[in-house]
Amino acid sequence: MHALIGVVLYLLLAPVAGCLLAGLDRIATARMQRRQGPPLLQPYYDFRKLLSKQGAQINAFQGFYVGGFLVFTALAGGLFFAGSDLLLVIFALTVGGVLLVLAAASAGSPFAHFGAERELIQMLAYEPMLLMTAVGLYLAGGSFRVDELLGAPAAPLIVLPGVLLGFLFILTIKLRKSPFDLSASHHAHQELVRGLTVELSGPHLALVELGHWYENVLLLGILWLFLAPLGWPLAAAGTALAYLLEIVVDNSSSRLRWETTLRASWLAALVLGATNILLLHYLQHHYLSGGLL
Amino acid sequence: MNWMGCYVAWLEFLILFPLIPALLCLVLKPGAVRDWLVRLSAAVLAFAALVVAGAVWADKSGVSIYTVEIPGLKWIQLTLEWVLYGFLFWRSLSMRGPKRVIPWLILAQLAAVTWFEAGDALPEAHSLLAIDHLSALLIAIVGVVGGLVAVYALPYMKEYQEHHHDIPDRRGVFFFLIFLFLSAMNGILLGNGLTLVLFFWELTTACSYLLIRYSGHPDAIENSDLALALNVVGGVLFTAGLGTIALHWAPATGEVLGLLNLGHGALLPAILLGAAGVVKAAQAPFHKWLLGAMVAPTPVSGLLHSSTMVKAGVFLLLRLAPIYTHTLAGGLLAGVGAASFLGCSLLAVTESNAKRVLAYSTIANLGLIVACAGVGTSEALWAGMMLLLYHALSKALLFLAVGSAEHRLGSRDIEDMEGLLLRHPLLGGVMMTGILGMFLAPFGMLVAKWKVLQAFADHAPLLAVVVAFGSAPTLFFWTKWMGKLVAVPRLRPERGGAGGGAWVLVLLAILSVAAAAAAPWISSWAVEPELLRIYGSAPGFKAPELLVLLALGAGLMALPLFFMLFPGTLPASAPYLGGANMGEGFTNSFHQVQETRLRNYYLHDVLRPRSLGAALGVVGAALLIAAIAAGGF
Repeated sequence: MHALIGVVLYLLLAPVAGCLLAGLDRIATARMQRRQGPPLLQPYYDFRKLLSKQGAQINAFQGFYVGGFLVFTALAGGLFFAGSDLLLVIFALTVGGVLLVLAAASAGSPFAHFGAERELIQMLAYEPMLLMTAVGLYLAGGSFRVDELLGAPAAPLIVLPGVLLGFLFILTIKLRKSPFDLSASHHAHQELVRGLTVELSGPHLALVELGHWYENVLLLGILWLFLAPLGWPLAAAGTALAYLLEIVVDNSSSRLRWETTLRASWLAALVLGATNILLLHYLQHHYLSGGLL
Repeated sequence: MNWMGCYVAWLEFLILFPLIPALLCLVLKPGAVRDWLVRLSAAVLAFAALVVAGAVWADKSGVSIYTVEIPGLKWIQLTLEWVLYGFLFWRSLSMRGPKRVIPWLILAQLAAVTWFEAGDALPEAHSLLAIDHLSALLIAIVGVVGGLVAVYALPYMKEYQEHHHDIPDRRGVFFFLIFLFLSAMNGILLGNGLTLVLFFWELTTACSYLLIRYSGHPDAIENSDLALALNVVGGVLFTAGLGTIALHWAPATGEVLGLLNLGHGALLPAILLGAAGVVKAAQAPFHKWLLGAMVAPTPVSGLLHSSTMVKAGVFLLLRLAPIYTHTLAGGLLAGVGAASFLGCSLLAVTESNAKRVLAYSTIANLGLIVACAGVGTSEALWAGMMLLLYHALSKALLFLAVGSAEHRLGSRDIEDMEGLLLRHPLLGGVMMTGILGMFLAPFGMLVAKWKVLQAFADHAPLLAVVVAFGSAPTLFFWTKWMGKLVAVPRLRPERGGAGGGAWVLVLLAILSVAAAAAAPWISSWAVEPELLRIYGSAPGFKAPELLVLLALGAGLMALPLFFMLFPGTLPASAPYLGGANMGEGFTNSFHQVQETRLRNYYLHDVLRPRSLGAALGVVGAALLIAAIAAGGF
């Protein structure tokens, strides 16, 4: 029953939360750039306008790919907030990501093609650390299930510092923030033609935005898993702080080359994620009697 | 009991029956009669395989061991072994360079085998044949997928000979070898006597050697020699495994099931046999032979990669997996698989040749199965068996689809497959089904990786880390391939069929989708009883959310079929090209028509395939040697 309530609440409220988050993001970004910024609900106005526009498509299947992206992203979030298996959540999210790449690749335009290939490189960059996040949380909490992880006695914050840092690293890629916004940037000065979504217009683009709102709420939910044992006020503050940090990074760095992005994220996954996991496993087996950690 | 006797006859039938069409193909003249012989025999073989497997699935009591005693079989077997090894020795005499050692290795093997049998160095097997859920699963795969590949080979080889006038038409020999191969494969799966399994093991080596050599071109000869040389090394490892028993380094037994009953006591022979499986499954450092094997006609690749040969390797490893559980040697063997998975997934990213991509992905996938076998827990074995089934279906489909595409497009380069979904809806559709089956929908990599990661997280987090790193590149190379298929073609689409044998492609596509949708039932009938018998517990599909995911995934897989039924229309609007669009290009700032061409990324500068391949070989060899050493202590 709890699971069902979680799913319904997520499906209904995540777009609202995601939209507000996007609005706050834009205001914070503007303030950092000494601008006034748009009203809080600007992302919603944009979304409504996109929906009302006439759509144009290059490939008859584009709508299907975009719809699939939305469905699988929402499914991933739904599974997460139902308290389900974290690995399945990540896989559903991956399927959604693949469909978004196909939407871009199906257009056959050079800009969309570059966007698709660069989005794939981003996925190549973040996927190992994302999977290791799940493995790390499993080692700390003894389960892959979100509901059981929330009730686990050990604070992942203490035993998983490396995994948390690694996750924050790839969170920058997942939130499409500079310096890792290779496939499509939110900053107008970064690119003349937007890559990934250049051939999507009107309602299709609106669906992509909606999918991103679902996705961002899910990502912050995963971050919450690390902070949950602190109690909800501190966890909320921590999550907000992390997001603010991402905005600061976003506004204080320029886009990296894809080679650098790929190397840096794999190195981060190896040094922060893998080392933490192996060390934790070693400690659990050799120094601590089971159950404590 | 009468029924049991009848059942034994079915098992013998599976091994002996393919020899009849094999020999008839040799003597019959090309024509409709021979074609129908191949079709009917494939159908009979598939039917018999399903009957045998179905009987196991229906019987919930567990392992069924059937005794077959044929007086004097030992001597018949020994004679056949002399013929086989003599043939291999003769063929390997022409090898040059470091491969000159191969004939001597073959002679050493022959001496050892003669000693095992004529010298009674190995205890004689009481039951020669055995079947349980693991072998039943593979029997079904070999019968159905192998049969379909044989039937597909009929029109394919006809076109092949028309395309290649310089290659002598030896299709009779070709089908002889195919059926002999299927017989040998069934022998490996059903054999319980260790020397009997070794005989069939070497028979598959000989068959694959001759099939890879079919065209007679210099590269075919070179690659068949490589395949033979490496597989002889595998045979030596197998023989060494039996040798440890004969020399009393391991408890005496002449049966596969006897080894299993010994448990950890039989670790040394089990690791050596596992190393032989590693060679056959083309794991690092022996991965080169499978890449070379793609010079053979496509149905051969389809057979080698999906239902025979490499599957014999992982079958043996999965069979011995309970012996590896919680041992260092098993962990190191799992490391060989994990290294192959990571290395070959990365290497696949750097390839644009579709067959090479498929070959690398086969090695990577088998690597995951080998890793599962090495870990040897109930969850790991579950993932390994499921991966094996879905890999066989999807990979056969993909190879045959690439073969058909090669005949239609005149190229096997993925870059030339741009817009295949609109140009050849059927070919593009089945190829999409295959790719989705390989890595997205239920049992492609995605959900199997779920169980693999769960299984590894407990006992071997290092393996889990390697799998996490290896899974990202698989995502990369499959998605960029799909991106090519779904693109709007630069050239005006010419609609065309898939050529002869299209129905086989469609049937395999339907089978893949059906098997994906039926995963929970397949798990509970064909896989879980095996695990319950060995471990007393079995993972399965329990969580309701997994059923949701399965339903959506199977739906996703059905969509390529939808593409085939309702081919898309041409673009409603043209893409943005930064200028005025002009047909295939745009007008640039010099008022010239600029052609556009899009190529995928291959990341050569980052991945450096040459050094990566060399490193993979070194790591694989080191892990394998360490595993054997650890098994000895």
